[in-house]
Amino acid sequence: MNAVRDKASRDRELLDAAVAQLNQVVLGKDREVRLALACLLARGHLLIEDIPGVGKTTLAHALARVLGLSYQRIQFTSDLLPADIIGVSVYDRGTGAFQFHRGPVFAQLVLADEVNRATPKAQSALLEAMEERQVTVDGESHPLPEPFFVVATQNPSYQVGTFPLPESQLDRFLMRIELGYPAATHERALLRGRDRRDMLAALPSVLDPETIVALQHLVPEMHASDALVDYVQALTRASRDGTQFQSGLSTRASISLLRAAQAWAFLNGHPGVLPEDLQAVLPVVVGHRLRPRDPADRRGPPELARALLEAVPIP
Amino acid sequence: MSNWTDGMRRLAWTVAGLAAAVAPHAQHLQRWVTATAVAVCLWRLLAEHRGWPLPGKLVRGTVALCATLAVAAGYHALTGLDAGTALLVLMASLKLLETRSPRDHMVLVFIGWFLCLATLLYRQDLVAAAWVLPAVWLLAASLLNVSRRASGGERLRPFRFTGAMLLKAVPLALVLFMFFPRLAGSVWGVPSDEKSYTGLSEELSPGDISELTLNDTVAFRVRFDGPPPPPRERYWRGPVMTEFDGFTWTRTRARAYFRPPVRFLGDPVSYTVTLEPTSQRMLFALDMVADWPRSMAEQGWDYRLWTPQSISTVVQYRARSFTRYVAGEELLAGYRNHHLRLPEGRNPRAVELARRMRQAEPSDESYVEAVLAMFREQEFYYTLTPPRLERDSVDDFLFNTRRGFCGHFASAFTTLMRAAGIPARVVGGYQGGDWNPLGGYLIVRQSHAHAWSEIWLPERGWSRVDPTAAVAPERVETGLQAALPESDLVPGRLLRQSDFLWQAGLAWDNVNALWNEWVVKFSGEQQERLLERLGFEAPDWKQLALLMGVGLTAAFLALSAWFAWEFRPRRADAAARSYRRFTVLLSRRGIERAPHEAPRDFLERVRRQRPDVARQAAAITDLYLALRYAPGATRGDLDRLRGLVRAFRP
Repeated sequence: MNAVRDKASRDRELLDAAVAQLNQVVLGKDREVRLALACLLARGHLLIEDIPGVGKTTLAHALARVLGLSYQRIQFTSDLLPADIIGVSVYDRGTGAFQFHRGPVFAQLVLADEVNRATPKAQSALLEAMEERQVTVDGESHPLPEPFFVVATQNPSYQVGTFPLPESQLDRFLMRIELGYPAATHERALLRGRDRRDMLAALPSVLDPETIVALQHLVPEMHASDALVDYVQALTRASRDGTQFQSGLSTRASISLLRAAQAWAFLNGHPGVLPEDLQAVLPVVVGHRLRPRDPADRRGPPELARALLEAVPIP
Repeated sequence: MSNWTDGMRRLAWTVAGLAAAVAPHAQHLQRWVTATAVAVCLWRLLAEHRGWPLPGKLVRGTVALCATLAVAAGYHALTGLDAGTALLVLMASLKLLETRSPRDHMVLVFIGWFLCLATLLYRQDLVAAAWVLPAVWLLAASLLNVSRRASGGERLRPFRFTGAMLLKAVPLALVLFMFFPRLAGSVWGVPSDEKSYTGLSEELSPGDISELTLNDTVAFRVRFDGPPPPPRERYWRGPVMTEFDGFTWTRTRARAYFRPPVRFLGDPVSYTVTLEPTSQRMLFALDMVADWPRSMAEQGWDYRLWTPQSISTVVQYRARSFTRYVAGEELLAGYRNHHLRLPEGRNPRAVELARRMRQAEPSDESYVEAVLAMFREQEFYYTLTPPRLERDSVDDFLFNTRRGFCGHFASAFTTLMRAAGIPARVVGGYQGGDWNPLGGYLIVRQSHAHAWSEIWLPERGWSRVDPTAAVAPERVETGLQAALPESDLVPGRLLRQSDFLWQAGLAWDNVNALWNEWVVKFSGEQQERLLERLGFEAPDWKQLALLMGVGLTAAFLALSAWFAWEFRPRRADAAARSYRRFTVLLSRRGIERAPHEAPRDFLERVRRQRPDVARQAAAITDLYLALRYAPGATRGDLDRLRGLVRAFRP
C-alpha cells in the first residue's frame, strides 16, 4: 500500500516538475498547460485554436522538450500532400525493392501547425493516423511510436485561405483549447525575458517516453464512482434532449469526457474523479462537439459548454 | 413539420387526441355541436399558426354561456347522457381557446379520456372498443408529449413509450375485469336514454314490418344446447296485439287477465339468447317458453316476456322452450270476448265474407283451412312492396290489392277469424334465423321480423297459424329471400348470393358474438363460475372487493419491495443526503448552492462569505467527496460526515 502511495507521489512530483518547467516558458497559462498534459495522459490529441503568435507552437515544442519526446513539426499549407505527412515508398536500386521512407508523422509529439490551411485530403491523412495510431502505405502497416501525441493548431476559420475541420474530424481531438492573449504582467515578462527559442533549447527533460506510457496506463485506473458516471450520463442526456443543441454528444464524446476527467484528477492528485474535475475539462472536451440549435446563435464552444454545465444539476 | 414551435406541436397533439375521442360521438351529437367543436379547433390551430391573440376572459365567458344555453335549448336538458356529452364536447373545444400551459393541455387530455368512457356508455360492441382503444393510446401519447420539454427526438417515440406503458397495464386491467365486483342494479347502471333502436314495435299497421325487413342488423343471437329446432318451428314471440281499429293492431292496455296455463309436450329446447339493446321492455323466446330467468322478466297473459326496464345494453339469458304445447285449454269469458272484438262498422266486406265462408263449413277447423286455401289458391301475392291500403285495410287488401307482406296476411286472417267467432290475435316477433356454422349459433336479424296469427280452438287451445306460410311457404322454410320475387329489394341479397361475402359476414358476426359473450356480458354468473373454479364458494361482492383489495395491495407491495431493493440507498447516497442537509443549512443563511455547482467551488464561496465556518465546511466537503467519489470510503467516514453535519451550525 505504501509502495503504491510512494509511487503515486513520485509520479505527481514528476508531473508537477514538468508543469513548473513548462510554466517558465509559457507564462501565465498554467491551466492550459495542465490541460495539455492531461490530454496527453488521457491518450488524446490536442487542438489549439487561436490567432497566430500567442504561443501555440511554443507550448507544443516545450511539451516535447520537457516530456522528452521526439518532436516533429509539420507546417500545413494548401499544397501539402498526404505523402508529405505519412511518408513515401521509394524504389531502392541497391536492394531492388521499394523502401518506405517515414514521414514526419513518425514522431512521439507531432505539431500540426495551422492544420486548417491544408486541403481536406491532407488533413484526413493526419487525422486517420491519429485515430489508427498506425500508417498504412502500399498495404503495409507501420505502427506509430508510443506515446503518440498530436498537437494541432488552428487559426480561427474566418481568416483567409482556411479549410475548417469538419465536425467529424473535430470529434477526434480530445480537447480543444484556446490560449488567448497573455495578461499584461506576463506579456511584460515575455518582452523583458530571454528569447523563448533559446529557453526551449535549454529546457531539461523531466519525463521520458516510458514513464509517460506508464502514466497513461494509470489514468483509466483512476476511480470514477457511480455518482460521477451518473453525472457524465446526465450531461450527455441533457445535450441530446434537443432543447439547446443541434445534435447531442456522441458516445465517443462521453467516453472522452470521462477519460479527460480521470486524467485531470490524476494530474491534480485527487483520490477519485470529483465533479470539479469533470467540470474543469468539460469546456475543452465538449465545447467543440456542440452545435447550437439555433443557427443564428453566435456562442462559441466555451459558452456552449458552460450552458450545458449550468443546465445539469450534479446528481 | 420540424420547424413547428413547441406550442404548435403540443396543440396539434392535443387536438388530434381530442378529435379521436370526439369522433365516435359525432353520430349521435346534434350536428351543430360537432360543427362548432370542429370550427373552434380549426380556429385555435390557425390562431397558433398565425400568432393571433386568444380571446379575452369576457369573450370566453360569453361563448361558454351561449354554448350552455344552446345545449339546453337543443336537448331540453343539461344532464343526461346526450346533453352531458354535447356539453362536454363543446366545453372541451372551448377550453382550447384558453389553452396555453402544459397544465391546460393535461386537462384537455383528461376530458378526452372521459369522452372515451362516454363512448362506451353508448355502445360496447367490438367496433366501439376497436375505436376507443387507439383513441386512449393517442391521448396518452399526447399527454406524454405535453409533458415533454423538448420537441426533438423521434416523432413516434411517445407512441412507442405509451404503447409499452399501456401493455404493462394490461395484466392489471385483466385482473380488475375478472374480479371487479359486478354490482347488480343501477350503481353502475348506464343511464338509459330515449334512444331509437330499430326493432319490433308494439303495434302493427300494414307495411310496418316490411320496412324492418330492410334492416339487416342483428336482433339477437341464440346458442342452442342441443341441435336447433327446424326452421318452421323457429317462431320467436314478441309483442302480441289484440286491439284492432280497422287499420292498426295494438296491444291492449288491459292487464287484468289471467294467464291460461300451458301443458308442455315432447322434448324441451334449451338455449342462450344474447339480445342486442332494443330500448323495449321485452325478451324474446322460442314458442312456447317454459323456463327463463324469473328475475329478469315476467310472463304476461299473452305469454310474452316482460322486463321491468327497457333493454338498453346487451343482455344475455338462458331459456327453455317446448315447441309442442297446448296453451289455454279453458278460456274465461272475458278473455275470450276480448279476442273476438272487431271495430264497429269497419271492414264490412271482410266480415261479410267470413260469415258466408263459416256458414259453408261444418267446423271451425275446416273454416280455418278454407281461409288458408283461399290465400293459397286465389291470386294473393307475397311482396315487400305492397300498395298502400285504404282506411278499411282488410277489405282493401282482400278484395282489391291482394298484395301484401306478413302483416297484411296476419291482419286479414285474424279479422276473418274473429268475424267468424273464433278468438284470434296477431303475434309479432321473429321467424327463422341465419345459422352460423362457424360459431354454431343462430343469428336472428331485424330482417327476420315477422307477424303471424294465433287462434283459439276448444281443446287445442291457442295455436299458431301463419297465413304467410300458406301464400309463401318458402318464407317459413328457408327465409325471406327465397319467398320474394327477384324484383323486390331485399337486404343482403347480394351478400347471400356471394358465398365468400356471406362466409366473411358470418365470421365477423362470430367475432362479435364472442365479444358480447366474453367481454360485454362477462356477467356476475360467469365471474362466479370462474371464482368457484379458483376455489371460492359462493362469493358475494363484499368478498370480491376484499379479494381484489388484498390482491392489489399484495401486488403493489411486491412492486414497492422490488423498487425499494432495486433503488436501495447506497452508502454514497447516504453521504449525498448528509451533504444536501449541509447545503440546506447554508442556504438558510443565504448561501445558496446552484444545482450544478461543484462541491469545492461551493466551498470556495462559503470560505469567502463565512470564514468562521470555513474549517467545518471544508471538512464536510472533503469527507463527502471522499465518500461519494473516491474509492475505499468506510462506514466510519459516513458516521463522521453525519456527525459533522449534525454539529454544523452556520
